[in-house]
Amino acid sequence: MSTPQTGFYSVIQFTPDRARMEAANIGLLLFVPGANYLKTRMSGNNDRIRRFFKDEAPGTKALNTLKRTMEKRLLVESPQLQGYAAVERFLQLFANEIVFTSLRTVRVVNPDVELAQLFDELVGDRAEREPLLPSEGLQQVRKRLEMPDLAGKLERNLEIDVPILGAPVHADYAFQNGRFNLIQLREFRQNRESSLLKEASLTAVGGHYLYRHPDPLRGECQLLLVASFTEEAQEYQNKLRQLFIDQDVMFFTEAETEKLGDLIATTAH
Amino acid sequence: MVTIADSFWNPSCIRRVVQTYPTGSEVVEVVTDAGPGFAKFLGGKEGPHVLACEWIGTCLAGLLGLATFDWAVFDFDGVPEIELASGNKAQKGPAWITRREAGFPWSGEADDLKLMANPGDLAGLVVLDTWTLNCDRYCPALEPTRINRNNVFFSRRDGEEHLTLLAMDHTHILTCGRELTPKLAGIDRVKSEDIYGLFPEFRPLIDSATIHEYCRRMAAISNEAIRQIVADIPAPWLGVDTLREVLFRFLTRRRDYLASDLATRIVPQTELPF
Repeated sequence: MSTPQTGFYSVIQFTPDRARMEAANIGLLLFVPGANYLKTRMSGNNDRIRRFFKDEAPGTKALNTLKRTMEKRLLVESPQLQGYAAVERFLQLFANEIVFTSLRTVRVVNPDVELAQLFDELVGDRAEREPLLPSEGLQQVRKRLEMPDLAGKLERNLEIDVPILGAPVHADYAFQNGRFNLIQLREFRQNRESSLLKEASLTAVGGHYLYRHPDPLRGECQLLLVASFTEEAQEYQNKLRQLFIDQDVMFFTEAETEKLGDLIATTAH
Repeated sequence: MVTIADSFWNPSCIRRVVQTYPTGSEVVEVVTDAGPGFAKFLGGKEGPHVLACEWIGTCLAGLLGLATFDWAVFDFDGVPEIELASGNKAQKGPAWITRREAGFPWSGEADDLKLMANPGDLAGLVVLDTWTLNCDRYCPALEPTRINRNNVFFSRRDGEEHLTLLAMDHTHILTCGRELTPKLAGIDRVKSEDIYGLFPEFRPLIDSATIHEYCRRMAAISNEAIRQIVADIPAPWLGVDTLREVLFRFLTRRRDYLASDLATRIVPQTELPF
């Protein structure tokens, strides 16, 4: 789709006490009738909710469950949500802790890119913000993972607590194949080797602990990293691959998407 | 077509709608490809002439030396579809847009005017409003007096400590939102004695020298400059081309009428420093 068309967006908000009319943005919905496109993207980070609502905020697990349930609900309902009026009515009926802002119009050329950009502008915390236009390579990875043969086997946007780290590990996608695999899509943009290694090391350590300490609900876990490198960071690719493998993190570059796709297609259940 | 003011701000399309407002011109808060702003489209309930008025008022404000929002005119291609507050659809064609600035409207308290970085512009605003018969800030000619403090806007563009008064929203100049007709250049309007825009709280802050300076600036705006402003109004905003001559006649005649004594009607002569 290259001709601009009208889409509609809604900010998904968390509100522990609707009577106070206070809310924190936790996700984004994009509906493009002309492209038969209806998707949400939820924040993988609960910091904003915790900072804003403090003691009123539920724990990480509860919030993640709430967000995951939201996404699933939309998937279940989406065949019935044909047309603006149906979507608008569906969103208006949400009560309790989730609220959708009224649908507003947006100019859409590429729905996936627009969803990512709107999410960045309206939901993403500074710490979790992606580049304004996400890497083309990672966009392709997302597209591949959203294709019919894989999409149904994947969960999206979730966190797993790793108590020893004191912070959850975020995953863009996840699938179960005897082990619970968390897929992180990551662009490495650093120009300096030390900065690059610092960020990679933190991720690798998180992956290592995730691998060694089973989650009470999900069981044994593993981190799968799909990496995109800017031109300047390309030369460190092999060094990082080794670093991750040594820490029990499965490593794929964006060029190895099909390899990842095969793994999901043949083992996920 | 894109027309820009003396600024580098140059949006070319609407990315998304933030909020619609039930104002006379049905302004829409938007995010453009050049950042956030407030847009006014063809298709509004008051018709296209309010856009022509916005153009004229903002251009004259600039020539008087008043601070304004960054503004531009761009061709709206109809995407995304926009439903205005009245339910009308925004139409394709030239649209007016101003860049969003951090700030807030005046409280109405005299004390808050002392926070202004440009208090002299209060006098300029009165000269502009009186010249253009702007009924949408302070208009004693209406019964009851029309008071719209939302159109006295303070920007934080000069820092946290100083508020800069911006001349904004000129959609209701000339005919108070009604259609522009040849009657505009009639003698009753050209020689209207009412003073517009002069909130009672402004008076203590308007001195004789400043009001004289703004009247001098008004008188110095040439016929050629006014003819150019009128000639540049996008055609879809006027509809009838002969209105350009009507607008030119009104603006030049009223300028000449006011130049002789507007300053002394606002600030009595006794305050002049002899």
